[in-house]
Amino acid sequence: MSKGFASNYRMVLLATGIFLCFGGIGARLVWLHVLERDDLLKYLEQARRSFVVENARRGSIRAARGEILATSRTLMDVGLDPHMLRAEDEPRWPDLARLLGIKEDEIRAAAARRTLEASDDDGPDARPVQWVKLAEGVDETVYEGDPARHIPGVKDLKIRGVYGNRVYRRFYPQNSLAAHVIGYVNREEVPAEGVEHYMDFFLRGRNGWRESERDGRRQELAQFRTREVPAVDGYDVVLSIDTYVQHLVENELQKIAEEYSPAKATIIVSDARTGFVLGLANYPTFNLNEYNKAPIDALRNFAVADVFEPGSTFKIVAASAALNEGLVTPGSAFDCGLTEIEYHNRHLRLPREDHPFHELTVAEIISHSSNRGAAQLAMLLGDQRFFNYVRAFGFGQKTGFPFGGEVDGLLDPPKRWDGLTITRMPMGQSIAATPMQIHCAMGTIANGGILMEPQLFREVRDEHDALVFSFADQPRRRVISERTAQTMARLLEGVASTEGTAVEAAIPHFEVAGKTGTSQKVIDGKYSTTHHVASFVGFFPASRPRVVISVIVDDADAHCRNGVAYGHAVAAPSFRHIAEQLIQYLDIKPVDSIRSYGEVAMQTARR
Amino acid sequence: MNKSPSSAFVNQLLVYTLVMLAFTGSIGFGTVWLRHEISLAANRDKNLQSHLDEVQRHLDQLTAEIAAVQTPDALIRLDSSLRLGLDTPRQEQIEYVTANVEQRLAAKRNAGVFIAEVQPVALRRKGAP
Repeated sequence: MSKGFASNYRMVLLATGIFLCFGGIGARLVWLHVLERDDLLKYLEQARRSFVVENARRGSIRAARGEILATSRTLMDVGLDPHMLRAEDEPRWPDLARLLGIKEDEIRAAAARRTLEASDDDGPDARPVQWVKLAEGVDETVYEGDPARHIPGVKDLKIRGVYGNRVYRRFYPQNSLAAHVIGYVNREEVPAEGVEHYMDFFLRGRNGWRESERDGRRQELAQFRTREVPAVDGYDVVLSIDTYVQHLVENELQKIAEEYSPAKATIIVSDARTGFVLGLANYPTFNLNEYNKAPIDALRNFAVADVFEPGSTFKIVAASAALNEGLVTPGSAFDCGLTEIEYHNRHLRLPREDHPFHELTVAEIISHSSNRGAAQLAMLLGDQRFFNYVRAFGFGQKTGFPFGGEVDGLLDPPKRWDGLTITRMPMGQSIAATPMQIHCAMGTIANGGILMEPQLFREVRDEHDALVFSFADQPRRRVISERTAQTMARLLEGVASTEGTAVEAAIPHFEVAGKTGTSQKVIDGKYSTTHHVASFVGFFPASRPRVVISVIVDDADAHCRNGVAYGHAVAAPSFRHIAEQLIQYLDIKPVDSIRSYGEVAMQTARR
Repeated sequence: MNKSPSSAFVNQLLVYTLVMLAFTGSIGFGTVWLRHEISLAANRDKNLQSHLDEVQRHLDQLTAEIAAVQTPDALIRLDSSLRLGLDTPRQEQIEYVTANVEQRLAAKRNAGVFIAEVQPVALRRKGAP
């Protein structure tokens, strides 16, 4: 009788074999998972675990019409590993040097740097150098080559040990355009100034990361990704700056610089009704892509960070206040030939005039820029009331311009005034203001008596161009009534006329309203007769203001004909040049034609 | 031929064991194949993602280059190098039309309707000489 395959002997042998196998596997498992567990896990963590940070792309800064003012692009930092270089690649080093724009000797020097002297607790030590940088900020097309145009790149040279690391770098395609507004991001990717710094929260985005594993060649094993947080790119910030207006402004500043070589100058252009800044530039300026080469002074935003005595442009405050309080009318006359006047039982010496005047109306005080007339208007108001109006116009406090190191300016309260302050402050002495403060004060008249906060941001948009946030205009307070503002606009129109001090700013049919300023600078504690700040601040058309323009030039005297930089000679022509270009660009209609169209419309309506 | 019940059981057990080994083996191989496919898909996905990133990088690069060549300064240089002579019009070159355009056009169109002297119109019967 056959017992078949399963004899006792075979059965025992098979069973033993199987049990031994399982026993061996079990023992190995216990060894790996229990006894050696900690060591193996530690090794695994070190060898295979990878934590990869995914950098978010920094958002762009765009101008009002979408032009890119600042963006991020990838560049390559190219270097070599001295230990991996091969002798047979050496003939290709000249090509490498040519592509990177460096000398071949630099490559040889880098190749020779095989160790790095370092010191630790055990004393000095020579450590092997892993990578020596040859060139930074190399364009990707230079590194990768351009197959479409058969242009070889660094990679195509196939030099072993030469490779690049990809880095994000901020790029400013418009170079110096709006440099003081945009600001810059430094080499450490830290936003240092301007919009870059102020809007960093929106611009920077959020870096992502992922936990994964890598193989022996340090390549990521995508199938072992465990946790992953995607990067969120930064938002785009849209400014109110218009590149065309900004270019006009900077062009004009360049002309001023070439003609007068001033110490500094600034031009601000803003929308009269909303306070949105259309253009803001300073001289000297700098190239944003080479910010590290610019002198420190060039980095200052003169428009908000520096103060000067506003001079005659400040007369708008006393005149507006007196008109608003109903103390005078445009036709009220004052004796501007007086040299002294009694004020609060004291005889005060009135300031000097550039030209002798006799009796002037309020309208003429403005158009002729009479110092004594302005002083008498302020005296009518009294110290405290005049001071209140000065504060209400925004002097002595920040305008709300979001960055650039804005300062308050200097404005003492009446209790700290000396006896002459009430006669000097109305003509723009005994007070210091930033160009932006003066600009906003004029903007108040242009905007029907409401002081606006200067606005620079229009919108924030995401990477798909969807609107995230929209900025509206920011009224701060009503300073004077709308009627007073209209009256002041008419009076200021007289300045840019043949009877006024700045016929150079006049543009026929466009009702230019403005005020000149020629303030003496204080040098060694005294008013200098050879150093002035020339300014013209105005808006147009007076009956329906569209834009406010401020031109302020510091210390242009040396290149002026008679040695004095007058506002009407230095600043007013620039105002007109910019205004003439803006008329076409913003399609501002001449006032005559507006009236004509208005009359026709009314006639049609009557029919 | 008779087999003892224990041998039959053992034979059956062996068959089942082999079947089970084949079954678990196929599951094992299936799992390995599945993992391999997962890793291929994951790597494909990774490559596609990196390709997308690369395309996005090139797009950004291109956008930056376009922005750089469209700056006002660059356009002015181009105008100068190509001798195009492009410039914005000066204020004195512009003539604004301040008159009522509708009335002017209407007057121009209807100029022939209301003439100063009315010409007599002679009516003739059809066929008359």
